Amino acid sequence: MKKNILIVLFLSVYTFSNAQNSNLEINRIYKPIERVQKKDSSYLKNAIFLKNDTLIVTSSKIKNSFLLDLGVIDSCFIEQYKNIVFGDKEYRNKYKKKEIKLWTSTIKVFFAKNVKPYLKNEMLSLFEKIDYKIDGISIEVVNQKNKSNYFIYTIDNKKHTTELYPNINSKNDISYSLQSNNKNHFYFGALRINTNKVFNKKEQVYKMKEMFIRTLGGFTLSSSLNCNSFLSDCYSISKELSENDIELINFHYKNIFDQEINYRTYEKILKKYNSSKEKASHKYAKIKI
Amino acid sequence: MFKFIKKNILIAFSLFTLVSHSQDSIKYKNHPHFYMPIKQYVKEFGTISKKDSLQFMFKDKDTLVLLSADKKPNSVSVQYEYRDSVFLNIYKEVVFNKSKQKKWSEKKLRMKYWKDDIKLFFDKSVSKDTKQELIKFTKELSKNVDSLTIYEVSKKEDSNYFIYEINEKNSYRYDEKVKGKDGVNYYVNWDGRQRLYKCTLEINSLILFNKTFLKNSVIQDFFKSLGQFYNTELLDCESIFSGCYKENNSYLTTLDLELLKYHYSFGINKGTDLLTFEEQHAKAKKELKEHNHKMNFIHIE
Repeated sequence: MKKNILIVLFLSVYTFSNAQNSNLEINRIYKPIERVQKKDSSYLKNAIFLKNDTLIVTSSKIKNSFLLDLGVIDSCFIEQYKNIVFGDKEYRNKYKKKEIKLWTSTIKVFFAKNVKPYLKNEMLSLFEKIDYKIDGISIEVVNQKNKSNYFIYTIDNKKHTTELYPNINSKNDISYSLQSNNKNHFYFGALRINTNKVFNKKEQVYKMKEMFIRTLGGFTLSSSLNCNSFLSDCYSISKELSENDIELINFHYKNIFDQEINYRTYEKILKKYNSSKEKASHKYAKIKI
Repeated sequence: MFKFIKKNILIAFSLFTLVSHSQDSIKYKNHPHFYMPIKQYVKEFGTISKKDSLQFMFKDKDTLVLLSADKKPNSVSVQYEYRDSVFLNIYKEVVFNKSKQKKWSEKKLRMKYWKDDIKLFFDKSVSKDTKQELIKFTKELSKNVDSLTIYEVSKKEDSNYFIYEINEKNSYRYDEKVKGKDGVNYYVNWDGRQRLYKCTLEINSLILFNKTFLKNSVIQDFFKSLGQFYNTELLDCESIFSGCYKENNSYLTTLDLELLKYHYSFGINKGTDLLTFEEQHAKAKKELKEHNHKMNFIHIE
């Protein structure tokens, strides 16, 4: 009896609180009506009437409604993807709050003067490869710090000992810091290596590249990937950007989400996508969760 | 069978009462009481009404009358300002954080605003560009929003809004209460009537090393400190309430400015919580619809 009451109570509160949000129009852009030439039939939905003006919504999206093109999903590949974005299955509980995040603006990198040439050159060649092979990511190198949004510097005990970016964790040999906005889009990043702690040149290059690749999506390393991949948790000093890395990152950037998507939400999306009809014909699928 | 129905009616009834929010009267807590001696009252307002005579207080040899809201000293009566529900829904998100408020929480979030003029003082550490941009922005706000006046003062001791910057030359944190890691943060104080009266804004250009982002963040956070505003997903990146970082210099949309203007208008009671706010609007709208009459809201200094 008690159990029944509790279930009924819970369900009613849950449905009451969710009923109002099923078609919530978010990310609205409002414009004064005089400035809008083409109006569709529902242009007065969510319009705002002011004394001297009427503002109408010219662009918006429905919350939890997506237009996705995920192609034909390979079950093994999608598991790898979920592992790098939300963490390996065994550890996923630790990363409960992990959400899909990505860059939607050009990554403008600035190297501090103390970054040694061999390191800088290796990073430049990596940027070229990523910029070329991954749609959706563009990387530029700029000469002025105040025009950049991604700062790379090194620390060594002799000359440079203070953290040039306050949010970097100074305890780590190599550390990064990313800032994202409310839509989970990255807009700021910093990457730092301590060359006194990481003393092998090849290891410095390997670690910097690995960390940079991770900052493209806040990715975690996974045991489900082949050892030659940068996104694999396997240590190997002679890694190059693998086909698997490229495929996974391209998949990450194939659809841009404008709201917070955690593991549970993503599973719901995949379920609906798999049962939708469009997936076979490579068209965009309209999904509502 | 009968027992089953009885049990479920009870459940259904208790659910119904749980789910519907109803309040009989709007309780205005901590409302100051003003009393006036009977002779003075008659002199100023004429005869005593039946209602007033129920509120007598006897002190020493005098009889005092409790003043109703409209007769209180330094009180201003303002007519209800109508706003449509779409506008109000957005307003409730940015002021009360409506959709993210925990339904069962004890703490009731109340809307906050600056009653006095905002007197800015910039520490030497603040870069010229940032200072100029902010002063330009605040001048526009003062011009466009009634009841909001912002200006710079030359002495720290005359100010109520202090701005400083952490950069390569300055690492001193004037107020450790200012918390946050995103490069611009503020700490604001308010009184028992939800009036903001003091603020410290910290800029960290070591974190926000991109000039455009820094300027945008300073403007955004300053704007937010005018009402402890929240971000909302209802509005896209062009809005200052979206929490996005823009790379252009247009800081406010028409709607953003309207929301701020409304926040600083007095056609509804100030310093209220969400429930009271909604109830007052419902009452006022009903008055308007049924009797074509605009309710008056009384504001006391």
